[in-house]
Amino acid sequence: MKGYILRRTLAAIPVLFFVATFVFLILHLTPGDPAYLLLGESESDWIMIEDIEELRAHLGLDRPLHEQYVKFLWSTVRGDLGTSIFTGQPVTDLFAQRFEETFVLGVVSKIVALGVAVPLGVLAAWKANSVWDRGIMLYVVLGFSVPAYWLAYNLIFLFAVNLGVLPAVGYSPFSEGVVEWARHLVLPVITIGLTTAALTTRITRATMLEVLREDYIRTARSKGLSERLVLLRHALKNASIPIVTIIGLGMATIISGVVIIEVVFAIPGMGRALVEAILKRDYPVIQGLILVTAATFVFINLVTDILYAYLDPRIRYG
Amino acid sequence: MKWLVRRHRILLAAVLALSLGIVACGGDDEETTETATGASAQPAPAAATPAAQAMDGPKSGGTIKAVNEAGVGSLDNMFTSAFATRNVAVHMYENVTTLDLDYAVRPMVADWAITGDGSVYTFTIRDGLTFHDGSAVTSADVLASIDRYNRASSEKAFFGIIMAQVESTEAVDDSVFRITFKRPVPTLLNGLAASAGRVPHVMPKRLADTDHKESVTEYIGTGPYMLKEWVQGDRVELQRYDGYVAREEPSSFLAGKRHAYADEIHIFEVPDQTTRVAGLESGQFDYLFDVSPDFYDTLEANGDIDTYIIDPGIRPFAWFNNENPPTDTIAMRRAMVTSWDHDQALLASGGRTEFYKLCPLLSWCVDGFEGEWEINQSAITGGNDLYNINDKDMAKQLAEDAGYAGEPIIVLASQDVPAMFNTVSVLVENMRDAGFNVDFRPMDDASVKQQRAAQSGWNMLVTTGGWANAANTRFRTAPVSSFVSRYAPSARLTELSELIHFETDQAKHLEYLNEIQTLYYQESGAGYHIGQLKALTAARSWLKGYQPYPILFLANTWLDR
Repeated sequence: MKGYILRRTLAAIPVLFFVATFVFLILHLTPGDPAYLLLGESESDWIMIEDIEELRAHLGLDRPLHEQYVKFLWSTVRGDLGTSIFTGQPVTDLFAQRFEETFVLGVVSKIVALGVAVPLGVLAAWKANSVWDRGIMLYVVLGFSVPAYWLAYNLIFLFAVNLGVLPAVGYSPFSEGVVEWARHLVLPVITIGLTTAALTTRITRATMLEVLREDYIRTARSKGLSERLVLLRHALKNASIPIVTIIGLGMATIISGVVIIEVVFAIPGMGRALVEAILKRDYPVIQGLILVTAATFVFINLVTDILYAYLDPRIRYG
Repeated sequence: MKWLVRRHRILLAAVLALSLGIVACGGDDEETTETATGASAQPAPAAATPAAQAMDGPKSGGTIKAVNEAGVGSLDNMFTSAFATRNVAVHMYENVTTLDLDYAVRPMVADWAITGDGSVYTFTIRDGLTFHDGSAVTSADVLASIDRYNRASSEKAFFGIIMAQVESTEAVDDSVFRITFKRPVPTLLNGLAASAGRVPHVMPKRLADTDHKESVTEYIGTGPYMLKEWVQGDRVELQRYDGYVAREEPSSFLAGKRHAYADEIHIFEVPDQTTRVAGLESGQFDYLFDVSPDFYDTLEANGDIDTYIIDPGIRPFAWFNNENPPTDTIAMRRAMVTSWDHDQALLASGGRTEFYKLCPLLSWCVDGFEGEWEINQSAITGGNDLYNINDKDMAKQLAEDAGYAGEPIIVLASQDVPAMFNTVSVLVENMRDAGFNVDFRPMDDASVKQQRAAQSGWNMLVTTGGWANAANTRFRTAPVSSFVSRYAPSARLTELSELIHFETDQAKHLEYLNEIQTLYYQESGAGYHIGQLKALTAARSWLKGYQPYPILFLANTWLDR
């Protein structure tokens, strides 16, 4: 297992190199340049083209593309992700500052999504074709169909504006009080959790239905085991491989959902920082945050693969 | 659910109880100084200013929570011209001069005396004025700040033209400095009062010596509020500067006494309009700057919220690429603008007729405004007959006369700013109705800004300009060529753009204003006026003392709840 983990970690290097190169090229080949945005914000500035060129030279944006690329790669390898063109803040500082919000939102949303999806999926499979099953499938359809931001707006207006029991926007750090931290998380977590749980619910139901048809399940029931034991110990564990796969892949949905939700709820997380950086063409921030996100995905995939071995003893990595 | 054994039911009940507890235990936003990031800190008792205690009305204390119009990328308003930066920096910094409610220039950091033929300005710094780090403001600091602003200004911009006439600057002593010009310059004070675009804020010399192409790393001014914390991407927290020495004159917009009644002002970034409005309605915020017209009725109907319509607000301008056919001729540009229905274009962005006005003036249309020249705006009528002609048949004929053969006219539009996008969408349809072949290309703002610097690839785009300075600034800047339009104004227009800065005779000045405006419309070269949109703001009724200014300025306001 250690060897497997080491190999997978080393394999991440070319993946991250490819991501870094792809992002760099896409950014520099896309219209828009931070110098044009730094200057000329207001028509009252009357910026001359010479002013733009001077700033571009100051920022190193006038250098040949390959030169900028090499400089970017070399500094990244040394752990220097650069500084924001607009704020002068090191990207690593930005990451540290905004990490908690995105991490907490993503993890708590995932826990809620699992807490909703797995029981619902199990219930739908156990009571297949019943009113329970149909109701849960209706939720699944709605979960796929309803845009997260629409749900967010409605939750905000219900709980924050009309009932006044939860805050409308923002995030409260855990260090400043667990109650406020939790209150600020309720609406965004429900939004992400409910909408992303739909897929996991469906997959859980489908795999559980397959497993429940297996002979060993019939044997377990024949032996007189309680239905709870049959479902949770025998069926669910054997259905867990595809579910774990979907959970791992579902992190992509969570992260994209977090970006939207951070904007809607004005949560100062990495997702929102990325959106703002893209709009401003803040190259170092965009490159840095995408690299960090890619590294996160690589890590999640590795954890998912390790979990397979834990769940299914037949799976062993050399 | 028989499988849900007893212990599971107990666990479920516990979870539900905890959830209800979390919901119920939330602090009352009205009782705690809870920010949008949830720091529920009870406010420390603030020492009320003597002025507040003596007055019957203003109350000291509390934290005002406001929402900015956009995110803040830098707090250095000489490095960036972003209005969102100005909205924060205006609480922390002061200019040498500033504007009052009538847009007249008033002293702020320094009083002045003009001697000689109007070419010598002697400034005396306000007694006892200090920076937020406790150091005294000296002549060296102010001159360095002016110098940095000059370096940041384009030589063809308003301030650049003025400062090109400087003969000498001198720090007479720590509190008196002098600027001597080669000729009379009646517009220096106006230039120093600029409150939009890049702003000549006074800062310590050690910071003012920073290259204007880089942001300063410390934000130290002389204003009534100082920086407490900047959580980038979320909010800027300002706290009262206890060492602030206010002017004695009554408050009037940015001029006069600036009170710091509230202990703190927190200015948030909330990118989504819907959630901004929800935050105001729920009481999480006290003030919104820049309310979308779509939400105005909702807020107006709320008895706990006061809404404000601010005039002037912003202006959409059309820019032509004067080097790229077919917009490289005056005749063609005149043909295009002749087809425009300015009313409909403004309505598309304003949303309601009350939220905009037609305005042919190069300056802002402010009822009764006279400015430092005491020239009533109604006397400036040059070129009015060329504004908002809205005649498709005439436009078609003019295009034919100009030799237009159906070449595509590439129109860029930023989708990020509704005021731009909605307006240009209408203008595109106007031109198509008049027979122009318009290639309409919506894109994000960053792409538009880059594309406009290129010689080819576009013919027209629309930008917006926020309130700057109603005192005829635009007349001084309108004819100036910039990279945006690559416009080479006529020799006469170029001459006038210099003359207007230095003319001291009122009658002659009015003559120049009319001639500039006429030529401006005749040549249709740079920054063509569409009209004037009004700004919408809203505040909780417990926010007192608020005056509807065209910028986010909350000094002199207080919380009464």
